Amino acid sequence: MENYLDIFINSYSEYWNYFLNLIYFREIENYFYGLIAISVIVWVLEILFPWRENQSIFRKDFWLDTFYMFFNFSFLIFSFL
Amino acid sequence: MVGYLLHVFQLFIFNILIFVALSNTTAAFFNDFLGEIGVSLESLQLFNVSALPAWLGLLIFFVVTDFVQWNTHRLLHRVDFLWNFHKVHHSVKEMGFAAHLRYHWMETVVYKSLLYIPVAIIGGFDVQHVVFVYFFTISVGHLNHANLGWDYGFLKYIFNNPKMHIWHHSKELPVRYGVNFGLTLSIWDYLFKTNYIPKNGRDIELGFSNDESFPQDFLRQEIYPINLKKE
Ligand SMILES: [Zn+2]
Ligand SMILES: [Zn+2]
Repeated sequence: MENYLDIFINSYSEYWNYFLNLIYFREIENYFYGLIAISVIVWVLEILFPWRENQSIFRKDFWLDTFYMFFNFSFLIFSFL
Repeated sequence: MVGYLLHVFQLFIFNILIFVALSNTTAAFFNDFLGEIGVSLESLQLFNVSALPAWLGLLIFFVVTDFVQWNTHRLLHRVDFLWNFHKVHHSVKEMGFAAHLRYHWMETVVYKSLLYIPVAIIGGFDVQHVVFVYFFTISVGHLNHANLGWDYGFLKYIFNNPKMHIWHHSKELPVRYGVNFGLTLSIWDYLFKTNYIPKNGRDIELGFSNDESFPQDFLRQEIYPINLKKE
């Protein structure tokens, strides 16, 4: 049990080392540009070829979901490096 | 407003810290468990894809991880405790690309914990390849949730698509635990008979039963499963 506690605590300090690593940060920045590029492309497709035509371009919860998108994408990125 | 943003930011940093710590702890726990029963990760590795051509390793990684995630998604619907977290994703009332990543952060923990096992069993994946697969799945996932009436023709039996995934978000379901669980691939739903597209889903109501009482803002959605427990 103590062993797991150590790993848990070490993860915190390791994470901060990651966080301060600038090269790592630069790579992450590119991933975020990738996400933004995909989002803009799909959004433009939605505007050009809407399925539900009476749905607003800024549909219900557009900004809430955009926030969720960046929030959860951060986890995805942090979890595979 | 500033206070609200600060709170969100704190929650964000806190979540990442907990998340990284939890993932590492899960990995260590899994390794120790294997040690207890007398096997090492290396001996468990069915094969190492680094010996295979790059495209084949990539394909194996993609298909295996998608199948594990399809099962994880079924679990999110089947287990009440997990379903309370998954409700956030199903609270979408109008489809749009960003709805793809509207989900509780706990889902990432569940998905990643279960993914760790097969990825450990099949070793030798290249990080560059993993990134490529990630961006492919994010593209397909964005399209699945987009306000587009597309299904890619005969490819609909292989790849998930907007016309199929909208039925996963349907408020009225033919079976209690849901249909069309596919993430990137739809083939699992066709193989295991969980596919369901009775008609054109353009105008169906989205959500889940009693979603009227589900919170509308981020913070309350985050604490919803914990609040439920207190009641
Ligand atoms: Zn679902
Ligand atoms: Zn969905």
